[in-house]
Amino acid sequence: MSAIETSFPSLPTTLAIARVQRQIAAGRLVRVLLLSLTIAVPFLTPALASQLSGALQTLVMWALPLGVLAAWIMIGIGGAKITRLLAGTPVLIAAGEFEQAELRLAESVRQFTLLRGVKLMCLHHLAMLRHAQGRFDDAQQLAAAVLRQAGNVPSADPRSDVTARLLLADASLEVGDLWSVYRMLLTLRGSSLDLDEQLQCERIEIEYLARAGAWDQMLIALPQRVQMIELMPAGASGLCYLLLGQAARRVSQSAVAEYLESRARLLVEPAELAVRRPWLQEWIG
Amino acid sequence: MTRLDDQPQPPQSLDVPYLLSASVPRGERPLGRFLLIGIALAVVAWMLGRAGGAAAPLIGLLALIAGFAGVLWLSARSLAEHRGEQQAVRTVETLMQLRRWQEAAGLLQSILARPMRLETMRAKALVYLSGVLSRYHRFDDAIAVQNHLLEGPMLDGEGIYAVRLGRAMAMLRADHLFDADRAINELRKMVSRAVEAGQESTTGEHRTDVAARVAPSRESAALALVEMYRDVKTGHPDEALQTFDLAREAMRRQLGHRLADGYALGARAAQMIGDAERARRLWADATLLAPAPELLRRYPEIAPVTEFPATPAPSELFPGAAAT
Repeated sequence: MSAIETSFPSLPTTLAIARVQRQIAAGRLVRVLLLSLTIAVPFLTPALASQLSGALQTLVMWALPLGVLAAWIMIGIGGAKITRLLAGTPVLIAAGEFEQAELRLAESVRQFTLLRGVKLMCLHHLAMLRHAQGRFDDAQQLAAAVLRQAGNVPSADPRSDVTARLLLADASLEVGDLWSVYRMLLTLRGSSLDLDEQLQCERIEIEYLARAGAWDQMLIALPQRVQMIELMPAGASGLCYLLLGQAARRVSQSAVAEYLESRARLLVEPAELAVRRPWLQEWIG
Repeated sequence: MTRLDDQPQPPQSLDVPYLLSASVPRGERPLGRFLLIGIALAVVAWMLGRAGGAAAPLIGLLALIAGFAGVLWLSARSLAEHRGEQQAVRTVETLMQLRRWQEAAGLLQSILARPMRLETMRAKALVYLSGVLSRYHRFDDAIAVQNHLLEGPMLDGEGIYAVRLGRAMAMLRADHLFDADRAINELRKMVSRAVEAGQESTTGEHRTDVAARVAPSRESAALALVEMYRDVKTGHPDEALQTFDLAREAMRRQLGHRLADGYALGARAAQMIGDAERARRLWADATLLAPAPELLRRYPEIAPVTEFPATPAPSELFPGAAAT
């Protein structure tokens, strides 16, 4: 799939990453300050109030705690606003409405919030958009930035880490960065994956092994692989059959190769697959 | 996984009328519980105001903390219950994908036997229930669940279309041919309207009516499959083959391994018109993607086509399966 040309200006990847990183760093600082203030308020308020009298005393007694409370509420509202902006973007991306998704993501990247998870979600959705647009270099950079920022801090959404890894692995595969694919597959295989994620992981692994020429490894646990492939959508299963057929042919299992390639031919047009994967051309030929 | 299906054993425990009534959400209002905490706090504040004394601020602070903790606990409990329900329904989906029907039926029984928390999750669970019932050939029960879903406001446009498709297929299997024919015609109209709406939207006009949201044209391959089955069942093989030729590309793109169903029905239609060579070829393709027993289980009417040889599966790929 070649990159989709768009008629509207898109948010530069490096700018988006830098902005989100700045906001996360600033957010961390403000959060520490606010937390310290919140802890100090019960002690600070009586101390301040005791030095005042009358209306001023009442004002301080109320204003300080309420001010802190208001600050926390504002943080929550800010995060909710960005979350609302982001909520519809996966649907827009899936529907191919990239311009609308781009506008929402640009707005959500611009807005400031103290909630680190929300800012990371902006980058994550932007990576999804770039992947769908066929801009795999950008998608790879963004997914890597999400994982770098997430680090060891547990995410509010436990699945987001896995989906970021899958996205990075797939984008790396598209740009031919097999080392990154290998690293991601290692971490993914150690994670708890749901069925859809397992299927994606399987497809990426088969494609990676084929590109690395690891034919023998591709045929390990072949019946289990075929069972997984039977659950994939037509395009992915056709590709996997084609690659496994190629592997079987390389190790002289011609009956298996013939069977798998026949399945592939029913499910996909091999020439269509080769448009996006030029390296496939020589095998199809 | 098609070659490792568990054998159909009708789950007698899936009592449809009971599950439909028992799973209705209770309509709990979590706001009410928060209101109770607020009232309790107000009472404490009022009592403190009356009592006064040196300990009053401390008791007030403790009451506030207790109220805050109560709200947090209630929110966390409610969230955990919602997540648990979502997870259970997702598990049913996974079990069905893996064709572990008995486990899916057992889990559905336990989910639907008590009031669910979310109407959307209940709708999903009922859709899966209709799938499991169809799998066990309890087509009238499946139709009852699908009718229940279509009568209520639980589904959106795409959901309505998918349930109607499933219902049309169940009607065909249950030999309700007149109802099935009417249902298929309605589905065809929905698809036509959606295609027209799509064409208008590409010319710049904006449609906001229901037809624009209902029945996306991408699902027409599934409809073509239902139409083929109707034509084979009612003895119109020419029409079935015509539909197959027109929709083969869409089926290839959309149905994945269920493309085998199209080939199997096409093979039977070709056999019915006496084109043995084509029937043989199509049956070989069908059994390349799915085992013959599975196809016969889905469409018992295609049994005569088994006179043609099925594609043998290499034992390296399906070690546990008998050669088909």
